[in-house]
Amino acid sequence: MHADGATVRAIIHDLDRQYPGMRAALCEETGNIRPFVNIFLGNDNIRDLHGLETPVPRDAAIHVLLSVAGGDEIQGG
Amino acid sequence: MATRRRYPKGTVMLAAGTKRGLFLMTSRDRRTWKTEGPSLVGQRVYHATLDQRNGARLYAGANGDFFGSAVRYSDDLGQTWKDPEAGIAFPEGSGLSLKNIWIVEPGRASEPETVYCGVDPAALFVSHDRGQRWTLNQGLEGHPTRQRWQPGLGGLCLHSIVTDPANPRRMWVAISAVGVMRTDDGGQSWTFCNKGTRADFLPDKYPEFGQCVHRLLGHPANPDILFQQNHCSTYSTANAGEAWTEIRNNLPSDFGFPLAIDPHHPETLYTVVETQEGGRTNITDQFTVYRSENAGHRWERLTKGLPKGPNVKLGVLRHGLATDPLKPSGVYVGTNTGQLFASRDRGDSWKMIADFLPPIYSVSVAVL
Repeated sequence: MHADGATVRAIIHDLDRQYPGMRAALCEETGNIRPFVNIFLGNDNIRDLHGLETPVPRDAAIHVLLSVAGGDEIQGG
Repeated sequence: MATRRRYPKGTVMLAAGTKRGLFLMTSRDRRTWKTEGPSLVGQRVYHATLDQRNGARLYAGANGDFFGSAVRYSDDLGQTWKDPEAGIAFPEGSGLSLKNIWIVEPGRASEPETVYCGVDPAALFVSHDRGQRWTLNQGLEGHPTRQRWQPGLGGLCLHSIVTDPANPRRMWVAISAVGVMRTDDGGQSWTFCNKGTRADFLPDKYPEFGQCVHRLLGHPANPDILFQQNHCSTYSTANAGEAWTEIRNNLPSDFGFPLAIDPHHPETLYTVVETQEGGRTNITDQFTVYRSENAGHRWERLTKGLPKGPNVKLGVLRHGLATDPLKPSGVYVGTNTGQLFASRDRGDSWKMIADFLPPIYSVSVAVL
């Protein structure tokens, strides 16, 4: 996919324009990235940079990877 | 392209929402069953329901661990699924974020386009276009006590929705661990309806709110009558929730999750009560469904065909018990260890119709 934007947030906004629902898949309503979604700029997780405000150089490659999420949850009272 | 499945008129269809997708069980005689699925693979389906008011649209509250939750819908009985145009989401800036979808409830017969949905964190959403666009009920979201609401073990979940079929401005919701709330003005304002229900786990045992209601059901013929299975007992109300009467009577435990009603004999109730401590399972070594034929004055044990033994430790979650609209009514119970039992004679006898399913969160029934 190709998208335009100077920051990760702007790129997600552009992706959502091209593929409606993309932003909701990647981010919660609060604007934060979903807990098990990881966005890498090069080899760096943007959580270790400036989050969604991380600047993105022109022609950069961004990877979206899911956490290796184990464990369990309880559904109960 | 796969051939579209067709079912003869009169087929009974169970929708079993599980930890690993949605399974459908169908039968023409309620003796032999065919299991199909799963669909919505990898998603936690807390609830699914077939809405037959306007065609046959199957809704599922599908909770994903990675990409969030949505009420997905299928117009071909689960073969293909669609996403809404504008799914359930809290307004940006609200500080709230959707955790799980707990129930999808079709609206009144008089409003066939309307569908309601309850979620965690506790909120009510409504769609007036059969699930395409969802909007948040602002009256409940902005309730002045909201900051004092506390979650139960399963979260701060709105898990039960009861509409008044005769009064389009009145409905009830149940939230764990807040209690029952009612609106009389079409959802603009909500009042607590918890008088007489206990909260044993709080310093004040009878607070205005804070009760851990587990399941709320309306009487099919009299909208002033409702029933609830609660963390602390089983209750009924005859005045729309103004006050509740304990109907535990001879049930062997205060604690249970599900509740169901025989639609043709609304004084006939079903529940499954459990040990509260030590695993939330059947109380003796006999897995038991309990039935009352007099609105809870006395309960009888239903065990014929249900498993017994020292290793039988079964639990049933709040949406895991359902009745069908046939005569006599069929009763269905799914366990959180993946067994599904069916009775075609009002619970007098049972047969296991599926095993080795993922943990079952919900069972709902429709006759095609």
